[in-house]
Amino acid sequence: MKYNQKVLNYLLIIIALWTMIIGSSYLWNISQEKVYINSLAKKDAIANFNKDQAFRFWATEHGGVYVKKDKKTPANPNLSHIPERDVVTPSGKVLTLMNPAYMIRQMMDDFPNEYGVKGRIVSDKYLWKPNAPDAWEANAIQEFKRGSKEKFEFTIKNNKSYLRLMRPMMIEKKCLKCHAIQGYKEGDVRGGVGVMVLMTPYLEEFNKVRLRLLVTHAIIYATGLLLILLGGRSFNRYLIRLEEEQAKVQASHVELELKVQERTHALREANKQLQELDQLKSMFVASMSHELRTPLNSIIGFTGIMLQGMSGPLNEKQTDHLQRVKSAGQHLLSLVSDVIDISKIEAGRAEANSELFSLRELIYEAKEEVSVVATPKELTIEIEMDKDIQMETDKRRVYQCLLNYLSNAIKFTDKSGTIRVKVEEYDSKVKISVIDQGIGIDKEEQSKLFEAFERLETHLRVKPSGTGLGLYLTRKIAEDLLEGGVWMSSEVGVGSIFGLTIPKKIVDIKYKKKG
Amino acid sequence: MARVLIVEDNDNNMELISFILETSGEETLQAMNGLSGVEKALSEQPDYIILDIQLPDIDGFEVLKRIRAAKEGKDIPIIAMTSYAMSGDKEKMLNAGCNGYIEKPIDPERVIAQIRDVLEKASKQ
Repeated sequence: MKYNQKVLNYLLIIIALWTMIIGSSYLWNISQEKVYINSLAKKDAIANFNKDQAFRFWATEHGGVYVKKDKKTPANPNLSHIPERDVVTPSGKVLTLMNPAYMIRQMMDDFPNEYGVKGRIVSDKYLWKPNAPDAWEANAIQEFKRGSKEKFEFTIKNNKSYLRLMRPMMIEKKCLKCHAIQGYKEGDVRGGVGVMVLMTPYLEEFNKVRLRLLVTHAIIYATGLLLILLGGRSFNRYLIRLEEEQAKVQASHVELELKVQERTHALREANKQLQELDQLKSMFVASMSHELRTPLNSIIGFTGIMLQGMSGPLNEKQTDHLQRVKSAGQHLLSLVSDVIDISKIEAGRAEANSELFSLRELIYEAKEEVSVVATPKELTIEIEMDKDIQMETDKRRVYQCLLNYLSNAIKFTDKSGTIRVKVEEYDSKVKISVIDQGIGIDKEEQSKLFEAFERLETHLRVKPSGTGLGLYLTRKIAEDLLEGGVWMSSEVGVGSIFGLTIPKKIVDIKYKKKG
Repeated sequence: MARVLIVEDNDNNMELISFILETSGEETLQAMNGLSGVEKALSEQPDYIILDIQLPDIDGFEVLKRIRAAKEGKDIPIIAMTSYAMSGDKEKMLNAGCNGYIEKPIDPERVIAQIRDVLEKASKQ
């Protein structure tokens, strides 16, 4: 099974921790056991020591003990200075005095097994050769002379481990009986009394305990290790599954992202193509329209000449028919002009030509122009304007909008009504409203008004003679060239208000006249 | 009576404008393209010129520039005929040294008056 690197790392850390815990527990237990074993050995040593001491004190208190003198127990040559070292009983038995050291030595030699732990007496002024101190003992005696009360040591002798204990032996009054000859006084350190406890049984016990500890710790360690490994394995499996699922999600995410990018790209391309096509269309329309204008100009021009009688007199019918030719031509021409304007604006090739002019003059000019059609219908055009406003924008385009609103108002108003042109000034903007008392427009139709070719002819009682592009063109001019907007409100049977709100001055640099 | 040079490539327009001018008593000279327009302007020294902007060889701006560049042509009044749809051209022509303009389509009833206006202004300068 493949392992996740993170899981592997954690696993290794946990295993290391587990090993450390179990290992230190084992070591701690062993060290405790060792302390315990040593303390047992020490107790043993102290017990034996005390037993020797008791025996020694008993013998000393009696000033030694007389025993039968024989081969096994000869007279102690070191006591030769003592009178009555050897005495004869009235029955003739020979007795000799045994001092404590002599007694204990003989007891230990004769019954080593029963006696158990061997005691030892050493002195720097030994009288009997085996009582000579070794290096450790000599050192201990020196320390006793400096006031030390006890010395312990673990040592190895003849490949066997021992614990040895030594305490000082002080000269007391009763000791002087025998030892005064060596020059001791009361309170001097005579030497050391010690015991050596063989450590082998203790060590055997210790080894047993150690083995037991090892086994139990090994079992616990192995069990823990197994659990850790099993846990790690299942966690790893879980993690790998999780990662696989994440990868799947990631992959589908990426796929989705790619798809979105692809589609977006396709859409963008399509959009670009559409824009190009749209521009191409607008350019096509513009150039086609121009080609259409030239013959139209001829038609209108020559009809005009004939109508004026410049090329000879006309009868009534001829005049009427030529009048129809001329007005049809003019309608066609205005249609073509509107199309050119719209396509130029839509293609982004139209620009505003900003110039300074008086708004009042422009409005009066427009009024004058439409009076040709307004007068026969007995319509009055009123202009409501508090004071003149100086404009700095595209004069011809504003005029175009005004003319369009006015001719619409005239077209859709019955005889002898009033059309009002109202001008209001708001900071940097002007609001021009053309208010009529015409037939009005249905609420439902109103929203479509400013769209191209939205002529509401089916709902109108009057057959309109417009191009169907007028309001759309007005909106395009207002929004795209004059940086303003159009609006309207109307009520059927009451009349309509068409409005134009534009800045007095064109700000955007792209609309500004070159040079 | 004045001599007018009309530079116009469209036959119908040429007939229309020359008919109107002749009817009103002017003498007309005709050039059907830009180069011959420049040549006739300089050689014939007309009283004024009516100049169409869209021409087949060199356009009206170029014609204007060449006439104005010559010593013989710099004082001749020139009236441009501009198309309504090419509104930007009007300003360009005036800036380039044109004395006035007539917007197409020409209105037979008004065109003579428009021309008089321009010529009057030009003579005052």
